[in-house]
Amino acid sequence: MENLEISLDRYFGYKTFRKGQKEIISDVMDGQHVLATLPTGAGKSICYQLPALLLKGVVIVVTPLLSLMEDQVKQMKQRGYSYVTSLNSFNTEQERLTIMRNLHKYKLVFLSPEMLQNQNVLRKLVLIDISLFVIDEAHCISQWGHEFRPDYLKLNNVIDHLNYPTILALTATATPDVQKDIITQLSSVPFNKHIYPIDRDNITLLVKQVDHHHEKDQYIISVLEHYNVPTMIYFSSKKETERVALIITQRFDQLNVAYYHGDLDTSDRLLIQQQFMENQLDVICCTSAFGMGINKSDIRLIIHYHIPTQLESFIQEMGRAGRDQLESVSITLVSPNDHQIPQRLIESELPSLESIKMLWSEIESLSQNELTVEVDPNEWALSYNFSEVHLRFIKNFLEAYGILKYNKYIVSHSSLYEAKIAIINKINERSRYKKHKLNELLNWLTTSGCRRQRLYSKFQSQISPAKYQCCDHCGFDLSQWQPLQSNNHQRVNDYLSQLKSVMMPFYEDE
Amino acid sequence: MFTFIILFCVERLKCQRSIASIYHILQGKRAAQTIQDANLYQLTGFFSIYSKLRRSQFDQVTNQLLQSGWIAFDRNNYVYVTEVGKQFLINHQGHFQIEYFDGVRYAKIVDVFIKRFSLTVQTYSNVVMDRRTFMTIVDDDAEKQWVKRHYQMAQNDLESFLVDLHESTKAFLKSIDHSSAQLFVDRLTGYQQVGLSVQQLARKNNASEHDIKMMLTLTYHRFLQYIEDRRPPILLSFVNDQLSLVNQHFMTNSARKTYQLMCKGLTIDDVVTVRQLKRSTIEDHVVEMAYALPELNIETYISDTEFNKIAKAIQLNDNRKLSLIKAYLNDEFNYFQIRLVMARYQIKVN
Repeated sequence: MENLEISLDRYFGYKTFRKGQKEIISDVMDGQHVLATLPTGAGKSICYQLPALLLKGVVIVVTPLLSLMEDQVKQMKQRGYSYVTSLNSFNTEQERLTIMRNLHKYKLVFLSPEMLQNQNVLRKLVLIDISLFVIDEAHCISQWGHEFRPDYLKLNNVIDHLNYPTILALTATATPDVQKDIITQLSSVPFNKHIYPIDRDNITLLVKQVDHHHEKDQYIISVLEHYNVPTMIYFSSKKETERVALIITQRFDQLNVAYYHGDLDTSDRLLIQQQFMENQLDVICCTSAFGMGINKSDIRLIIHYHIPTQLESFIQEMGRAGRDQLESVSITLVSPNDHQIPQRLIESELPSLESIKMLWSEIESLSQNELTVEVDPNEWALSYNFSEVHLRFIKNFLEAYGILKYNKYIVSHSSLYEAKIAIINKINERSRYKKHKLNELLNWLTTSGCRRQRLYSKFQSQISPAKYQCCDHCGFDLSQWQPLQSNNHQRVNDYLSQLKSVMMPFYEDE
Repeated sequence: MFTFIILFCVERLKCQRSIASIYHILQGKRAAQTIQDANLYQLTGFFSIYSKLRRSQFDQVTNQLLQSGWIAFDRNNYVYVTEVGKQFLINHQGHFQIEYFDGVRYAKIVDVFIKRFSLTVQTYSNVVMDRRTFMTIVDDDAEKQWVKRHYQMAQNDLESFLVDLHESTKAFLKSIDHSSAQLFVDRLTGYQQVGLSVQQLARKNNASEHDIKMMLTLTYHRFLQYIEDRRPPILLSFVNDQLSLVNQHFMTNSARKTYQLMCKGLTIDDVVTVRQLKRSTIEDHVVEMAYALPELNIETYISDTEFNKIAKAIQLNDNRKLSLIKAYLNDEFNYFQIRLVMARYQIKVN
C-alpha cells in the first residue's frame, strides 16, 4: 500500500496531515479500535474519509448532525467521489429503497442514529462488508455529555450485531469523565485512545460585564466601530439575532450584516453561509444552528451575546475563531440575570415531572385486562407538549422496562410503577447534572484567575501558553488588539456590470 | 405587490366567493373548483404563482387587509374590496405589471427552469475560473443531473458559452424595467459572488418577503415568455424539454382521463360506467374541458338556440351566481347546461 501522505495528496490535495490524523488513520487501517478527541477544526472527517477511499468495503458513519451529513455528502461529491450517501429521516421511501438496495456499492454511508433502530437497515448492514464503523460526536453516548442521545446507547447492541467491525469513536469535546463513560458504555471494544489537547492558544479571551442587557448593543457597536473583521455573534434567541442584525445594519452603512437561525429556509441558509465564506458578509448574528460544517479559517472575532448552557458548547463556538492560527478574540457579554436564559433552556430540554405523571396515568388507565393495546406516541407529544427529544427519551424508558413494544403497543403494565420512579429519578439526576454544567460555565465567567487556565482545566492537565494575548485577567485590554482589518466588499449596484461579473468572471474591466 | 395581487383577486371575485378560493388559486390547488374559479374570474395568470404559500401566511396578510379596512366580508361571508382598497388598486394600476403573470402556462416549469439557469450560471462561472469545489445553491438531484449533462456539451468552450448566455440574458433584462432586472441579477450566484437571500432582498428593497417572491416569479414568467417569443437558442436549451408542458390543457388529471375516454367516442354515461364515478363528477369534467379546449364541441349537450337563451340570461344577470340564472330561466335548464354555456361564453368574452 502506498504511503498515507501520498494518498492524502492524491485524494484530497493536502501535502501533510494535521496533528493526530495520521496516527488515527494508521490505527484504524490496521484494524485497531480508536477513541479520538481532536479539537474543532482539526479535520476529524479526513480520519474516516481517507480510509473510506483506501479500504475495501463500506465505511459507516453514525452522526446525529443532519446538516453535517448533507454537507459532507456534498463536499465528497464535489471532490468527485460519488459513492457517498446518507440514510436519514429526510429520505423519501423511494430514495431509501434505492440506497438500501445498493448499499454495498458505496464507500461511505452516513446514518442517523435512529436509522439503526430500523430492522431493515440492520439486516442489510449485516450482509455487507463494513471496513470501518465510525461513531461521530461520540460524546453523545455519554449521559454526562452535553448532547446525550438515548439512541446512542443502543450502539452497543448494534456493534455486537454487526460482529465487531473496526470502531472509530470521534469527538471534539470530551472531558476525562466523558471519555471514561464512552469506554464504559462500549465496554466490549478495546479502544486505543488518541487524545489531543483542545486548547486554542491563538484565541484571546475577554469577558465583559455590563449592568443591563441594553448595554450589550452599545458595546457591540463600539467594538464594530473599531474592528472590521469577520465576526460572529452568538445568541440563544432567534428574535434577538434579527433585532441586533437590524441595529448593526442601521448603524453601519459600510458593514454587511445578516442573521441566521433555524427558521430560515434552506436556500436562504445556503446563501448566507456562502456569503460569509466569500467575505461578502462582515458580521453574522446567529444561533448555534450556524456553524456546523462551516469551514471558514479567518474568523477573527466571536462575541457571545448570550451564553450557552455549558463550557463544552462555549469552547466549540468560540473555537470557530482563528482556524488559520492567527490572533483572534472571543468576547463574552454578561449582564445580571443572564443565567436565566440557559436555565430555561435546560428546563425545556427535559420533560416536566407533571407531564410524566399524567402520561403514566394515561397508560395505566388504558387497559387492565388486555395485554396488548395499540397506542400512538406522537399523540402523546401533542397532548403533553413533548418535543422530539423528550419523546425519544420517554420511549426508550418504556421500551427498556418492557412496557412499550415496536413503538406502538403497550404490552405490559407490571413494571409501570418501577419505570415511573426510574424516569423521575433520571430526570432529576439529569437536571441536577445540567445545572452543575451551567454552574461551571457561570463560575468561569466570574473567576478571578486566568481564563485560559480555568476554561480548559477540566479537559486537560497541560495547557499551552497563549501565542498572542491571553485574557482580560492576564492584562489584556481590547484596545491592544490590532488585527488586519478587512476591506469591505461593496456590492456594485448596477445590474449590468453585476451580470457581467457573475457570468463572465474572466472578463477584466480596465 | 403581494397585497395588490390579493386585492386584485378579491375585486375580480365580485363578492361571490370566499377568500379561501384566492388562496387555492395562488397556491395552485389542482381541484376542479379552483380551476373553474380561475377561469371564471379570469385569474388564470395567478394560478399557482405561489405554491409554497402557507395558509397561515395567507391568513396573516388577509387579516391585515381586513384590519386596515381594505377588504370586508358581506353577510354570506364573501369577500369584497372596500372603497379605500379600491383607491389603492386605482393608484397602483399598471404599477406592478401583474398582467405578465402566466401561471396556467408557466407555473409547471418555472421552478425547473430557474434552478437549471441559476445552477448553470453558478457552475460555469466557477469552473471557468478553475474553481471546482463550491457549494451548489440548488439541491435537487434532477436539476444537478441536468446541469451535468448540459456541461458535457458546453465544457469545450465554456467561455464562449458564458459570453453568449450573458449577451442573451442582458438582452432580456434590457427589455424589462430596471428594478426587476436589478432584482433578478441580485439573486444570481457566480464565482466569488453569492446571490442575496429573499430576506436580504426584502430589506434592500424595503419590501416584504412575499413581495420579493412575487416580483421574482413575475420576472421569471416574463423571461419564459421572452424565450418563447424570441427563441434565443442558448436560452431555449434550458427549457426545450419543458415547453410541451406549457401548452398542455389546463385541467385536473381526472378530467384529463375523462377527456381521453371521450375522445375515443364514449358518452357521459359510458364514462360514468367505465370510471365508476358519479354523473355529476363527469359533468364537472366536461365543464373543465369546455374551459380548457375552445374547440370542444358542446352541441351534444346543448343546441344553438338553447345556448343563446342561456347566454342572454348570463349577460342580463351580469352576475355569475348560478342559482339566480337558473331561476331567471324558470328552471328550464339544469346547472350542468348553464355552467357549460358559461364556460364557453367566458371564452368568447375574453
